[in-house]
Amino acid sequence: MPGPGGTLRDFLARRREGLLLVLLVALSLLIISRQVRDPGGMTYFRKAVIAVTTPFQSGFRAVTGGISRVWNGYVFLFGVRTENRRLREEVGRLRSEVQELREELFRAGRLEEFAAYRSETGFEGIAGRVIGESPDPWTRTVVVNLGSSDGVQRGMPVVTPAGLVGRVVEVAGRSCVVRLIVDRSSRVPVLVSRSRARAVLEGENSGTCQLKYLDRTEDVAEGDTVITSGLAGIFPRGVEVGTITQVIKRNHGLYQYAKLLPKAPLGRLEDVLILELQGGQEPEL
Amino acid sequence: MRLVYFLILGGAALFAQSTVIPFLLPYWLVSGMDLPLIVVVHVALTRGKVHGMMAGAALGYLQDAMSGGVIGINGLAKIVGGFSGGYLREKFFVSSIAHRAGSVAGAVLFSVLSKVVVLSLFAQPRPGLLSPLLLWTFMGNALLALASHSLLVRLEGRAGIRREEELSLGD
Repeated sequence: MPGPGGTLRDFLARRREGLLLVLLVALSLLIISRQVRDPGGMTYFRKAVIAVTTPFQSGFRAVTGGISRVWNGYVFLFGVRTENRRLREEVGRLRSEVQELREELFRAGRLEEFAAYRSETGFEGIAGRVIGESPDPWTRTVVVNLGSSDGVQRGMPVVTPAGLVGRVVEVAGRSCVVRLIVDRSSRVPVLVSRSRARAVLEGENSGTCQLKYLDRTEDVAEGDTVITSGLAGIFPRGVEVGTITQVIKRNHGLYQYAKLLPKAPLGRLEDVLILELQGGQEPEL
Repeated sequence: MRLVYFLILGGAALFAQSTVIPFLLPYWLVSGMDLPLIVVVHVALTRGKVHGMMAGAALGYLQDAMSGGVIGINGLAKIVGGFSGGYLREKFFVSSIAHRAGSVAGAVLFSVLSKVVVLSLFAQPRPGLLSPLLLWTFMGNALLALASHSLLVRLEGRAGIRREEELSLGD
């Protein structure tokens, strides 16, 4: 006949999987509740994971860039059979070079745009390249190849000359994670440029955002440009965000709503400008 | 060898999800696709509840850390996905394509629903219960998981990664 110790052991053995589930779920709930209370928590874990994954993401981007250059510049020429091999190789090499130079020129052009944008607006910042995206399909973030070693800090606004992109939410040594304005948990205080109506911009996890807390008496129309208001001290005032595509005014309620199409090409970001923090302080995120 | 294989499989899913897939496919197609969840469901269906939960915890937590979101949400969702995949495997014995499809769909459904519940519980932004995103997340991943699982089962059998008894269970 089994003793009390044996019975407990039997019980634990029988319920091993259920107990493990309860333990793992409880642990996850505990970690999530701590995260929700203190969004800056678990920083070391995040930094370690981002630091480990960054070289793979950078490597992939470099490889795909190389393949695309070779494809466009050299392989394409194999169809030309009438020319002799030497000429084909020569032309191929030249095309490859031209393609590389075009790519460089394109990138230099973008960086020039960034420089012009900086001198026009007076915003200080550094240009970086997007090397990866969020592995979670319900989160809209990108990884940029600039980190704490480049002076990047949590909370820094991220823009392109076309418009606002988002803000830095996590920083590792040589890379950082940027939450895009279309992410569901993104909030940006904004102004309608024409009427100066204030609102809060929220992401919808698609290609668009929604303007919320927009007083129903305010004059807002399709085609209006929306800019950052500079309130809350995270984003500088006056950065273009997007254009209103639809105004939704219901018969009841204090507010009206509007759909906004971001000006920055968030679906195909390549280079971004990370701006310095307002007042040099990390904001409360 | 099997541990190394599953580590590579999980790493490849995370890498593909964060780098290759957005590079190759349009956003509307990627928006619901969750390759780490597909790997978790595959592990659960081939190795059982405990392995499914462990794979879910590891991949989910890494996914959260890489995406800059609240750490633990994907972790918990994938732990539930791993457990339910293993549980359904035992119940249905995954003996026919219909049973296998039911197990895969069930594991994906439980995982997606648990993610929505956790997001609601902690007042985090989440898609609506009948939103196209949620339906696409469930249906897209269930179909992809079923196809990937069937393919991986065959490949693992040929490569000798799975034991005989598992092959008879899985096929």
